[in-house]
Amino acid sequence: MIRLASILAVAGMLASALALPARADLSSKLGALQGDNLKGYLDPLPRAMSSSINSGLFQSGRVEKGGVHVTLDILAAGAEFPSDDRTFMPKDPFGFQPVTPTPVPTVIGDGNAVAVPDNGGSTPVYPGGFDISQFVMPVPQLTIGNFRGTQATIRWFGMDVQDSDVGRISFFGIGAQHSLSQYLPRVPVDLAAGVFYQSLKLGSGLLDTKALHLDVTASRRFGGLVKFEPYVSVGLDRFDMKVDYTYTGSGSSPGGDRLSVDFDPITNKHLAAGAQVALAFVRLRAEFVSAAYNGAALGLTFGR
Amino acid sequence: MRIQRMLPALALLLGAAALVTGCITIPTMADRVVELVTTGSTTEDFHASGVINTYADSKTINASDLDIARVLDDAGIDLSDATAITFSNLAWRVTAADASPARTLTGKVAVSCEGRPFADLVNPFSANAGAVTDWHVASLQAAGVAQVNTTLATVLQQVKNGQPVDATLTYAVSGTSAPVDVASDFHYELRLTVNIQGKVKTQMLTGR
Repeated sequence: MIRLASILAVAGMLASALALPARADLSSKLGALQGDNLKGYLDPLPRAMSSSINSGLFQSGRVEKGGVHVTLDILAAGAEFPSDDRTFMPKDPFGFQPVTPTPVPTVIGDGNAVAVPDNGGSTPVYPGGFDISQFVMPVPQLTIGNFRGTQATIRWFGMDVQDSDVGRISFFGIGAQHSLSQYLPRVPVDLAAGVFYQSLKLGSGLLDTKALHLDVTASRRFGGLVKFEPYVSVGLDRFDMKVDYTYTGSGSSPGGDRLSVDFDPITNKHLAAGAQVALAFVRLRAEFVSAAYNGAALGLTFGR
Repeated sequence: MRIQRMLPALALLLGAAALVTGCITIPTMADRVVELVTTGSTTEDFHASGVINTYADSKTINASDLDIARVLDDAGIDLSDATAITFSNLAWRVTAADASPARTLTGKVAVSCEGRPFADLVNPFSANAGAVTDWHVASLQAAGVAQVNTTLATVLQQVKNGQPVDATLTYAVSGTSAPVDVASDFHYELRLTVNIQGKVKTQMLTGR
């Protein structure tokens, strides 16, 4: 079995799937972009991150009233980028109109830079993307309970990314799930309400995100030695993202200008359907998610 | 329900999830070649003065002022992976205002690279020199841009070959200023900005 440390190391690297490459880090790619074009370039990220980061949080509506329960999850949550999100229409930074309006790559788009000459004779060039079709984020998750039908869950990792200007990756999440079934004994499924807050930061403010998730999960457990538990959840996601970077494009000061861009918060429904199979202290689970993007989460859980 | 009867349902569920989500796969390291864009610029100062107020001034810069090697290094692009350098824009600003707030100038800018005949670079323009201004991006002429681009390509090749940069660009600014009966005395700058593109090979962790 892969050692936990290895899994977490990979997790950290995956989290930087936004921009891990050795030297071609995100800040370099952002350097020639500003304002609306920066937002256009990064536009797919908030939705992908919102879908991924808010997936796989709760996999059951069954929260017992008491007892000692400790589980450790290793999750991989991913989202599929729609092909429409591979390009955006840039806004000429010099105030002219493009001779031929041309879509240019977003952060997930084609790797080649694209020049879009304008009718003022200037030729802004827009950077290529990382050419990815999926965003995958692995997450370690620890759940501890239970007290009066409530259990707490934390997510955390932090690491320094070598050979990259990204610097440190800091990820933290905390939430809880509370049993509703204890108030609704006649309901034929297990029900629980959950809330989760998460924060992911890259570098010293290069990327700063905050996510809030609310949901109600319903599940039913079957079986004996080997248990099977399908579940569905209905919820709401909110995701905020802010980018601080050094603008080195046209008109910038020597060494660049520090710019900060706040993205519009994303709020969307979050529907998930999945199932888990449990054998003794090990559980395997999978879920499909329909949120800001469609996605899936796979998890391996140890403990009970 | 027996677990054996549930497994097909679970398999179906997982299959559906994978199908709907476009078969999200196990994350793997994948090579990517991405093309970055960075910019370099060089700024030249001009001083307009005199009583005639019909002026013709020229200044020559060396393309080494762009310091392409440093710009590429700052962006993390290896010199050998630089793919193109092209004219981005020309901007101007008044840095020291004329004593007369009503001072205006009308003129044009031409460029000559490496001794070739002058080609118009900036469309005829009119501007106020009675106050300090921010940068304004000029409307350009294709002939001048093409000449600069030809020289920039030569410069990039020199830098990649490790040769000293030996290419000059001469601006010729001409025009008139008003009021004509008052001596003009103001400073302005022209800033040439170039796009420098380069490819970087990276490794990404991605589902596919």
